[in-house]
Formats: sequence, structure tokens, C-alpha cells
Amino acid sequence: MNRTLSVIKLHQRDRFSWIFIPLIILGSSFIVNWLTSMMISEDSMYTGGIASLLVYIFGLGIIVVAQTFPFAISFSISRINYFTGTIVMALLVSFGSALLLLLMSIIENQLTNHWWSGLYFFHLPYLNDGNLLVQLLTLFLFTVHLFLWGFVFGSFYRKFKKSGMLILFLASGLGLTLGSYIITQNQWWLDIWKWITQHTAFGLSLWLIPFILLNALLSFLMLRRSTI
Amino acid sequence: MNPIAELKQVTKAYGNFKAVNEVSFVLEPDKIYGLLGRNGAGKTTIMHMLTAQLFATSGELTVFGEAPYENNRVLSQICFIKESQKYPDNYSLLDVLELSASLFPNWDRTYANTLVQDFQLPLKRKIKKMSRGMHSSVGIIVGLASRAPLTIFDEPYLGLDAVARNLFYGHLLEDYAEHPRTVVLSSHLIDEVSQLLEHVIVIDKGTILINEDAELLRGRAFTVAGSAAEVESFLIGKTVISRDPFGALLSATVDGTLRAEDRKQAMAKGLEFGSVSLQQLIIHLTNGKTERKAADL
Repeated sequence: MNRTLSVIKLHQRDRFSWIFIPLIILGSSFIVNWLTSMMISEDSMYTGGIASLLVYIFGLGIIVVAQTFPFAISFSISRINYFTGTIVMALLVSFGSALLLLLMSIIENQLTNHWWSGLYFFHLPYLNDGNLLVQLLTLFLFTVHLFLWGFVFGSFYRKFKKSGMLILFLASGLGLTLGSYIITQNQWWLDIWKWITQHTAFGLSLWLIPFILLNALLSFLMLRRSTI
Repeated sequence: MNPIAELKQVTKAYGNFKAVNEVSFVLEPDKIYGLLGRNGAGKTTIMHMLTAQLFATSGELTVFGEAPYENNRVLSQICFIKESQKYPDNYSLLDVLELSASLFPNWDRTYANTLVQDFQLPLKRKIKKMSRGMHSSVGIIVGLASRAPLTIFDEPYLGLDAVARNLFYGHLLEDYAEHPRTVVLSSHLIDEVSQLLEHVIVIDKGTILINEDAELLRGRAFTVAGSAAEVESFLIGKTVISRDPFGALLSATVDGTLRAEDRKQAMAKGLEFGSVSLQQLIIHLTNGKTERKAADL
């Protein structure tokens, strides 16, 4: 337990990667969009600017392994402590960013009338359906999922290095091509689209939970046998 | 006394290549060990296995009586400083020191601060932006201030100037005297560290060549010089490590201890004796032949 806390501390000391950079990315995306929304004449402007934050979280999941795993192992940290500490840190940061996004969406929607310029940046239709708790959980699960998705790639690279990565990409390319061919042949695209649209954002985010758990398990199994 | 670490027939193979081949040795408490050998001999691989950063292919390896893998009782007592330690890009020395304080139970903050001043390192500059020598000093400070019962320095002074290296040797001896622990020092600057070492393990091509007390090792060979004919007659029946002819003169390195009567006899014939430095001895033992070829060319 003690040494898991040390791993959290290890990450916390890198405030740039975990806090400042995502804030800068989100902030600059917001400012650019806000300035644009003031200049254009339309009544309202919808933007997917918060995706920039989510993409960064995905990237963070990938690079955090390369940045800290060899370092942590060299500093006498066990792999299980590294894994647990990193996951806890990711959960904390995901929760923090979900809370921030929710807070900003409230400010946007209820306090500033969309930043006085008709900008829909934080409060988006569909994504922000449901009550506050539902919105918070949706944002949280999406963020955690993206982090762990990146983390599983990072761990894969750590375990199987470049050649493994190449095989993974070739295999997934092949899998995707084959999958989409089968779907097209059976004319399932419409059904899939229907399935997605009949769910709320929250409903979809609940479907992420099995993937989150699977990715966590896979990362753990790979890191457990990773060497320097 | 219980050994700090024990290796029994430990092998690490990469395909057909055996980086470490059936190596066995014991590290005793409160001693300074030198793990010496050429680049690629397997030193780093052994140290990585001791700290569970690599897994042995076969053999048995225990540290503090237990297997080190995923074992916090063992890991928390080890501090491993390696030549090219990578730190997270945004880390400063201060970050490393704060983290070390929470990882190493014997960490001494005051001592760490003294070392930072002695090595004249900036606390807040990112380690990524430090010079090669400063980067190495960071590792040395962590290694010394951790006071870990098993402290391993793997070529810790890449890019360090002679002043800083002496500072390191001085601090190591001084702090070791006050807080005895087991130190493993891997190095190819053999002459520089030979005075520090109490026990020497020499590894070559994955196998152990020498595993001996440093004092005994120093007496294990000697050189003899004089006129070629006299030296040759002296060498009869002795194990000669190398011969270096120079005109009518000959200087030879002999494996074995010099007996007093031999010495007396030979001195009468005008032969001179000298001691062999650890470095020379190891070069002879690990690479005698190639060394000679290079000299002949």
C-alpha cells in the first residue's frame, strides 16, 4: 500500500503531463473556438473541442508507460505497485477532468448563455443528456476508457517491443478489414447504427466498462512480465 | 552470517546466446564488491537479475534469502543505480529526491542535501537538460543517500570528471565506514576503484573468471624484468601470463605468488620484480591474447 502511494506520488510530481498540459490543450482549444464563435454571424456554433482533451488522455495512457515504467522498476518499485498506483492516478485525473468538464458545461449552459456568443463547447446535446450525476459518470467512463486504451498499447509496446507492435498493427488492420467486409456483406451497418443511436450517451458509456476492465487486465498481465 | 545475495547456476539466454552462463556467487553483508569485466561480459545482466528487472532463464537466485521478483521486502532494501538511468522527461533533481525519500526506508535527507551541494547540482533544472556528468551525479546522490542494505552502482560515472569521481569515491568510503552495507560497484575504470574494493568478481563472456578477495588477488601475480636469458631461466616451470621483450631485455608477468627464496636468488642475478595492478591482471586474464596481437601489429 505504502509503495502504491509512492507510485501515485511519482506521477503527481509530473504535474506537467497530468495537469498542466491537458489544461493548456483544453484551454487553447476553447479560446480558439470562442474567438471564432464571436466572429461568425451565426446564432450558435457547435464544436467537438473537448475531444482534444480526450485524445490527449489517450496519448497520455500510451506515453506514461514509456516515461515511467523503466524508471519505476529501476527505483525498486514492484510491477503490481506500479500498475495499481498508475491506475489510481488515472482514475483521480479522469474524475478531476470529468468534474471540470461538467462544471464548465454548467457555466456554459446556465450562467453565461453559451459564453455570450452561442458557443456549444462543453454543453453538447446528447452527451450532456440526463441529470448531473449521469453526466459526470458518462464523462468519467469515457475518460477512463481512453486512458486505459492508451495504457494497454503502452504496455503492449513495453512487453513486445517494436516487432510485436508491427504484428499487432498488421493483425488489427487485417481484422478491421475482414470485420467491415463481413458487416458489409451481411448489411449490418444500419443495424449497428440503430443500436448505437437507440442508446443514450450514458448507456453507451456503461458498455465501456467491460472494455475498461479487459484493458486493465491485459495491461497488468503484460507489465507483470515486462523487463527493462 | 546470512548472505545478502546468492546465485546458483544462474543462466540468462537470448535464443542460443548465453549472456550469463551458469554463474554462481555469494554476496556477503557489509562488503564492497567489484563486479568487473569488459563491455558485454554480462555484468549488467547479472545486476538486472538481482533486482528482478530481468528474469533468469534457469538457476536459482535469492536476495536477502528470498526471490526478488515482486517482493517488496527485498526490493525496498535494494538501490540500483545504472549508467544510463532514464528519468521522466519533466523530472528535476528535486522530484527524484522527494520520490526516493518515500521509496528507500533508510533515506537520509540531510545527507542528500550535502551531496547536492558537493556535486554542485541545480535542484530545479530538468534532468533531461543536465549535462552527461550532472546526470550521472544524480544517480550517485540517490545511491549514496538511499543507504540501502544492497546498493548497486552500474558504471555510475559516465561523463564525470576526475574531481567528481574522487568526490564519489571519498563519499562512498566515508559513508560506508559510518553505515556499513553491501555495495556492488561495476566498473571498467579498474585502477581507479581497485583501492575501494574488498572483493573482486571478474566476469568474462558470461562466466565467472575470478571470485576472490581483493588482497589475495593482488598477490596472485607479479612481473619480473631483466636480461632475456636470465628471465627465461627464471621462468622455467612457472605459469607465464605474458612476455614483453624489449631488445635484449625481457619483462614477463607470472601467475602465482613469489616465494622469498626465488626472489633472493633472482635478485642476485640482477632481476627486478614488480607488482601487477588489478587492471593489468584482469586484462591479462580476460584478454591476454588479443592484447598481444594488437601489440605485435
